[in-house]
Amino acid sequence: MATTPTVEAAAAGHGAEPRGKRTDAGEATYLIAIAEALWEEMERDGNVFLLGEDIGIYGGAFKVTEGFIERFGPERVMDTPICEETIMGMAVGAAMEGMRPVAEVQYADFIANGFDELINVAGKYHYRSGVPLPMVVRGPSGGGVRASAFHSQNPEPWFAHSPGLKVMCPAFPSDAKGLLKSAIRDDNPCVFFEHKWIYRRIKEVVSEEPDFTVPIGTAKVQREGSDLSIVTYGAMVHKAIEASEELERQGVSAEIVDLRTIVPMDTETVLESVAKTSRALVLYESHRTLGVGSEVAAVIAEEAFDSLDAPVMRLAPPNTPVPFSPSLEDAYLPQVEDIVESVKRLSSW
Amino acid sequence: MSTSVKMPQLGETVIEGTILKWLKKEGESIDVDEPLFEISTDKVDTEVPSPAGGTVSKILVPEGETVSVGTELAQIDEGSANGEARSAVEGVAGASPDAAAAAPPAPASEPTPEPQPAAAPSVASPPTPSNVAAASATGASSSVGAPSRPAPSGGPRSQILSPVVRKLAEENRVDLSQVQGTGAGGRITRNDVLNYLDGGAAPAPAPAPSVTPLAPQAPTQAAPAPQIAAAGEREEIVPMSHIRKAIATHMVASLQTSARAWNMVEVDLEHVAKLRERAKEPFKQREGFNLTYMPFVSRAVCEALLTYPMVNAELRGEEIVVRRYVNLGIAVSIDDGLIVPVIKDADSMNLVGLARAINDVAVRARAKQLKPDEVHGGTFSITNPGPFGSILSVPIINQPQSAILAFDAVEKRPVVIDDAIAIRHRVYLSLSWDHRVIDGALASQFLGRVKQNLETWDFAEDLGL
Repeated sequence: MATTPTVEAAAAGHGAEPRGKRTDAGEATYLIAIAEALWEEMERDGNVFLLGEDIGIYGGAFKVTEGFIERFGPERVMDTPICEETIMGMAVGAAMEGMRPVAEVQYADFIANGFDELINVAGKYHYRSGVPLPMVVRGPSGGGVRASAFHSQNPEPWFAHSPGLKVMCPAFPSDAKGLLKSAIRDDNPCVFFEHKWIYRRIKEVVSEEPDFTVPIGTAKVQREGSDLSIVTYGAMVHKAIEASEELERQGVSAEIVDLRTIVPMDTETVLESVAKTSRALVLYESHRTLGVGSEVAAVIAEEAFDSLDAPVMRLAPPNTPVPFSPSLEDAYLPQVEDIVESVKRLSSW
Repeated sequence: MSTSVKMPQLGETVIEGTILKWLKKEGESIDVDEPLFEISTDKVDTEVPSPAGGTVSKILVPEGETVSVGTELAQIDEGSANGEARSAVEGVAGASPDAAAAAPPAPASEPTPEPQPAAAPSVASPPTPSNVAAASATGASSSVGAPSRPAPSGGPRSQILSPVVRKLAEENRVDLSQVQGTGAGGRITRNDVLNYLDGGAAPAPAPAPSVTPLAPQAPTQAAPAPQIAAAGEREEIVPMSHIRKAIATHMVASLQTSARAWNMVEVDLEHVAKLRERAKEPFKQREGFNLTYMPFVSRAVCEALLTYPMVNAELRGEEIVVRRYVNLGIAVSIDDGLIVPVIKDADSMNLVGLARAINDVAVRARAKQLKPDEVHGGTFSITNPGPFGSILSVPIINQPQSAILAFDAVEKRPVVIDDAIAIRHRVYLSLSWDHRVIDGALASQFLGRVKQNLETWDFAEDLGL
């Protein structure tokens, strides 16, 4: 069985091409899991189509859509000009007409060029006209890959702040696949950030069920603990897990809450965890000031005050551009040892 | 020879103080007037200077402990610092080489008897039988009816109670003075309370725990503790702060002691307002703070108090102390309450001097930097709720003074002057006075004098205009 998963997957039809790239053990990387989600949804629904820069013939800057144009043709895998405003505008227009576009921005940073279409049109269209806008914008976000200030940002707070958009930042292949499928099936505009540091680093066995989805707006406790909660998402989940193993050795039991979706946020799971542990470290990769974690910290302070045994603590990068120099980038991003140190300060408060 | 350092009395009604921090260790040398320790009382938190120079030979009260006024806190050995101290070291286990375990306090300075603050009404709750029983049963218990106060000696952070600790203590009726804090600086953590409830942690040394530690502690068996109701829907339960309790006691005591009466005049401040308008900018530039109405009123009040000294008096038993000087109390609203710093010899200051003094004490009161002798010794007080918008107030007299003036908001009002209607800056000045000392006629005369001063005096010269 383990010897020929490739053949079986191909024979199954759904997601055949990307699944062919799984390991012999049937594990998919985060990147492959995303490709599988796209493939499966395009096979399931003829209204789903892709558009973006170099996604067709070239297969995408990160090769997420490799092989797609051969299977689905250039009308459903559209190479666009290098103009994000056009990409967003096309997606909005197609969604108005009942299509289900999935737009790719080559790096999440470039999404700023399409800001107006996303914030002012997509986010408010249903509110203003009553017409649903089922579109997804995908973008590889995040740092840690030595890609400098224009290719390493975490733009999720920009979109979390503005109403009308759902925002997802999964950390694991299964969650990425399940959430992307949910986003494509959702009738609201969704912004889906794929952390590029995770792309090829993390793999796991991912469901092959055609209707496997992860509900939008649900957090997940990735690790149970009793002494404090680390509330986080994206690549920081993996840093937190590594830190928690070190902390375990030092006798501190950390619970890790992975938000998975930023908007709508599953505050219930966060609050349940804090009620249990009485201490919270909010760890996030967007800038510290008014980052996603700022909101998490505020919710905890407002709604779990009674449960707190120490002030809510934040750990996040400073408000500077992401540095190019490797040593500076390492200093900029929260590292495992920073998490361990913060946790120790928090637990000894 | 050695000098004994005692808990100072930082205000008439203050009966105890808490040592926050020793600034010198045993064996360290100290100059006279050099800060020796920090204390917290109902009125102020402050540093206390050393009464003598020499070596700190003994510290008798540890940090965090609350003791009565007059209690001996430390001894200063006035002999030449190091040599003598070293020779005095006796085999005290664990004492550092420098720590001078000096001989017991030579009664050189006579042991001042604990000053019993005259009838401080705060502690005068009648000893009900149950109360007495409690006292004898638990020894020196300070936790009667207050389950959420940890032992004061648990470390510098033992008084910090996190929300969850308060909640757990309230819900489970835990007497926190029985819980050993294991957090940083002795803070009681959530786990400390949970362990205590589980019977896991050994309780603090004091009294023996009840037989079944799991059962809700009944630390207040004896005293009928006020039921600590759990907070209801949209309610929260906030323990009274130290200063809140002090204010409460002081205010109720005032009403119980004095025969308070009240009257009021309306004053035309048109001249003062115009002058202030003219002087405002240059004054701000020169002095660095705003020129308010307060110094004008204070100046007018000081003169009137010298004219009618019975308003500036204190009833002491069956005698009345009449003052020919004014120590003016100025009520200052601070974060967690109210404090009344005193401007000594306010009657000897001109307008600018008063303005500086008022600004100074107000700023330092808010920064909690008042010195102990700056909050007592007042002979008369002024409260100024005007900035908050109040136009008429009935204040409570700041005992043991005999009267208090409320200065409310200055407003433009239509008034009749020579049968014409004019718009003028006007204010209500009201006086709460103690009818045991003052009668209505005197109160009215006094207020009339203040009014006359404010309406007729020319302050221009004082302001350099």
